[in-house]
Amino acid sequence: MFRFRDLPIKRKLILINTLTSIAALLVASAAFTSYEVITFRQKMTRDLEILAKIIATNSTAALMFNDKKGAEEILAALSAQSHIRMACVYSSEGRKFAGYVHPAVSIGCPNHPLTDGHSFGADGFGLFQGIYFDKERTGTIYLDSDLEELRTRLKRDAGIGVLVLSLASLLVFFLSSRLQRLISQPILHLVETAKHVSDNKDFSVRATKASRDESGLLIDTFNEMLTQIQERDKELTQKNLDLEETLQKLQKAQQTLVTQEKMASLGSLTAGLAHEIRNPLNFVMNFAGLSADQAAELRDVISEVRDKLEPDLDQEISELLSDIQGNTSKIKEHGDRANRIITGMLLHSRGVPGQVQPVDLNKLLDEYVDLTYHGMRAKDTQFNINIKRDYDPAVGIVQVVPQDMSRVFLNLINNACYAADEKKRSSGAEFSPTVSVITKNLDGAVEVRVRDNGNGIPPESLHKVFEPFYTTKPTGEGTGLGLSISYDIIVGTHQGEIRVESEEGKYAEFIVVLPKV
Amino acid sequence: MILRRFILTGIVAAWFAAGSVAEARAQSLSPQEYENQVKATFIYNFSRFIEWPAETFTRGKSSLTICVLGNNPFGGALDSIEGKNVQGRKIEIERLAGLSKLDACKILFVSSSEREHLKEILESAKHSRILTISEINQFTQAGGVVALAMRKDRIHFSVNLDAANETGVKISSTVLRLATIVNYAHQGEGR
Repeated sequence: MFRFRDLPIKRKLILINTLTSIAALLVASAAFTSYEVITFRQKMTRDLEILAKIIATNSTAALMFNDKKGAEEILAALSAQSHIRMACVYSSEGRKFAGYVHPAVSIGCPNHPLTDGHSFGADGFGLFQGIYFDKERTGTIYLDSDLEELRTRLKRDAGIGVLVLSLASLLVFFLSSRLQRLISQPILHLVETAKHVSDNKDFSVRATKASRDESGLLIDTFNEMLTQIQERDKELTQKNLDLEETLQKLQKAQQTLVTQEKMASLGSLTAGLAHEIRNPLNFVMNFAGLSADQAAELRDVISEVRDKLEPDLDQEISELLSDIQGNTSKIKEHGDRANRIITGMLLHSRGVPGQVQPVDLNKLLDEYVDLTYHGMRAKDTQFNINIKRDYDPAVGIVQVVPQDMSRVFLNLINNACYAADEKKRSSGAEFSPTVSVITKNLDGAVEVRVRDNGNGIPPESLHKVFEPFYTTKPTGEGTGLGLSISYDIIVGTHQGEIRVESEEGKYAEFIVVLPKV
Repeated sequence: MILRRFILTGIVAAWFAAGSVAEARAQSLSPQEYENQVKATFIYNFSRFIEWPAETFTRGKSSLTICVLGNNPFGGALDSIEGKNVQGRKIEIERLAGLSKLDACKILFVSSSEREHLKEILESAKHSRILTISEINQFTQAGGVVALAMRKDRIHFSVNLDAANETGVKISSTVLRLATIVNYAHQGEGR
């Protein structure tokens, strides 16, 4: 259903203007028409009175001389006045004396005159007027006129009125269509801006102020509000970012804390364990040594009495002694190995706090690269690998514990060489195993990167590599403590940072960041 | 319709106004008396439509004197108009036996009995600038100013305008409209 209040403001303004103007014009034309009708009636009455007076004067003599025919001739002259429907003359006694009736009128003169005066009806009006001669009343005249002239005039007025009304309405419509923009334009602009803001969540747009009236004020206020919202939005976004960052930091810290705690508990466990094993191991080692010494002593004793022995017996004793010597040597060798493991465990769990001293980090690193490489070559003559060294001279002197740091470097380079060599073994001759060692001076810190192009670390294992006893090497080749110890040294002793980046099948890179002070 | 309303509201008034004269003449007057009355009234009314030159009244009495020459044809009817006011002047009736007192008259009614002396009378009246009225046939053609004739309850009259002009009076056009106009020059009907 059509509802005025739902119309757009543009239409409303046009409609209001047009309707108001039409209403005003209607009232004005109604007033004008009423005035016209009243004045025209007065004029008609006056005209009819004058006409009646003329006719009266003209017919006085006829009346006085009782000349009916003469009177009727005078009255008949009224046929020229088409609006006169009838004219009647009465004698002073009230007798009907003479009359004229328009051919189109069906009724005749009233039989007797009424009181002087005029009276309007729906389709005509009549007038009774005295006929005087020498101030003596000699009779009465009656004139009856139709309202054709009034009607014609009203019709003409109505026509003019309709014409004026249509033209004025058109003009008003045209003008208000133009002028309504003064009011509707700022509002529409405001609506458009508000819609843009709400649709795109874009608080940076501003409505343009075109005038200094209330709509201008509205736009100013709107813009001011937008500015406030924009500021708050910015603040909120910033706060959100801060919060997210804090959360990430918190999660990271929590993870670190968990790892540290796990390692600490494992560390104390290993320390006790290592200590307990070391004592019986010492006995084993000592008695193994003793057995070797005694076997050598026995051989010397036997060699003195060899010629008294049968050659077969000598042969047998000699073989047995060799076996015993071989066994003790094996016990010693493996005991040493066990000892090394225990020492490593103790070092990791308890550690011997070393002294922090200024160290040329590049030099230290380079020494251990060489050492490791040659160590590997010594174990395996087939071992061959490319070493890329890229040292930043700006790194210079760093305050570290040299024994600890060398251990870390040894571990990292050893692992890298091992991984690269592993891949060479599995993929063949065309693969070129490479280990890159890079240092870089950062702002207030130094960075050491050790990268290999080996098989990398699967993503699910990445977070485990710094845990104690985690190893992928075959049994006997790794203790699973190297990286764990390195982690302790970098993070615990030097307040630095160690992390790993890897892509499975392509590379693994360990990054150590050390604060310079 | 207006008329009907007029009739409705005015019907009682109309009842009382209805023709008292007609009754009067039908019951209390003989035809002769009525005719006399009508003629007398005509003379009175006629005098009211006439304008005399201002100097007419300086030379005689200020009253309007109507003279009757010859046998009185009005009976007592003329007495009823004597003393009436016409244009601020009182009507006096003079009955003349001869032409000697003619100067005092403003209007002279010539009785039918004077037909024989008509030429002589009109000569004198013309000389004295008197408006003449008569019932004599061909009165206006003979030089009289107004001639009367009674036909069917109604007076018909003719006016000789030239003769009227000679007397110096002005007769109202409303009256002349009702009259048969007669001239000296071409003595035809002018109405």
